[in-house]
Amino acid sequence: MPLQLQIIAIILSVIFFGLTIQLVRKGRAEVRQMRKWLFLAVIMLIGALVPGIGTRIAKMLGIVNLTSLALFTLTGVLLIFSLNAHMSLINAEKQIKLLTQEVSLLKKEVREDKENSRKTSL
Amino acid sequence: MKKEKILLIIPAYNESEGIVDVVAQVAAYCQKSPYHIDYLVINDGSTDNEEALLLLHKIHHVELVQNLGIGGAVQTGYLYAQRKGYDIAVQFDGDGQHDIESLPQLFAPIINGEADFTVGSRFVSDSVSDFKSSGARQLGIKILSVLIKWTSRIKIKDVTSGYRAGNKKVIDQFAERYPSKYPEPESYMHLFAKGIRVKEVGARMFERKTGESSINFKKAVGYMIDVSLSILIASLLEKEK
Repeated sequence: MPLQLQIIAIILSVIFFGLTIQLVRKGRAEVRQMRKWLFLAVIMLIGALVPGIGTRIAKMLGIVNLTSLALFTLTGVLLIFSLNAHMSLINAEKQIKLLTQEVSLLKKEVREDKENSRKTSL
Repeated sequence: MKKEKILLIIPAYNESEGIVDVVAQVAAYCQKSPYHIDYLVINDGSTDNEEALLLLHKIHHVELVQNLGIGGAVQTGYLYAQRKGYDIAVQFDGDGQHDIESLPQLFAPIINGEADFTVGSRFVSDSVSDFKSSGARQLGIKILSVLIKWTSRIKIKDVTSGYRAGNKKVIDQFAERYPSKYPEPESYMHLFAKGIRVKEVGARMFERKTGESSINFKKAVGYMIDVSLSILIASLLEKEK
């Protein structure tokens, strides 16, 4: 791996690692939610600091160089993460729909109860 | 003899212009009908003064605390029907497109045990509907109808009709699962998978009396793609005997 590329990779992975840690530290996310990102950040950091490991794995898999392996793997991983994130959003949307329906039906009952009690008190 | 409890689910979003008249017609029909018919307007988080009108005229309704779209609004009606123990639920548009006088055609086959679910149709021989929708829409309806026939072997001519009635089995099914967007065509596939018997019956429909349709060319293309894909994927649902 060329030295310039290694330096960029180290800087990027350190920033990414720092960002994930910071998000947990500030309470914007919990470790259980950030686990996969932290894991990815560590892998990126190791890959950037010790490129020899990645190069050996790339050769074992018959891939020309570490950069191709990193690009290929990261794209795959990000696709899975993105699908996962989308599924979480869809689930949240479903839960919000159900909550809206429940709250609205309850609101209707409360309104009717109030009307009935007003009628009986008159 | 048991008298079936029937609920008319009337979704309405920003229909302040016409909802009071529609409900007045419905209420008059409910009173003269020998059946036990109630109605429930679902105010789908309207941003006009629909809620104020519903309250002012003491119209039986639920106000959704936020807009859920047609699927979520109709499903709220099915949830209500399920909880209140209704035997039949009928979807009825709040924009005045459906003729309340066609109601018996919809629930008669369910009461007689001929079907679990009925669709009010403009395209069957016993329909007296003069309004058939625009040519482009009819073409879209035909394509979806062919797709449903091709995937399920069941022919429904008016696949986008929102004038539909279902028994308790259907109420339970739709309370549990109902598509949020463009629900009608896809929901047939869910019903077929559950072995629910569907019958198309003639019904009169009118052009919408108030408001405007929000569908333009771009949306129509998106609609056809979304609905066709939903039908194809729903055809893979495991069939219950």
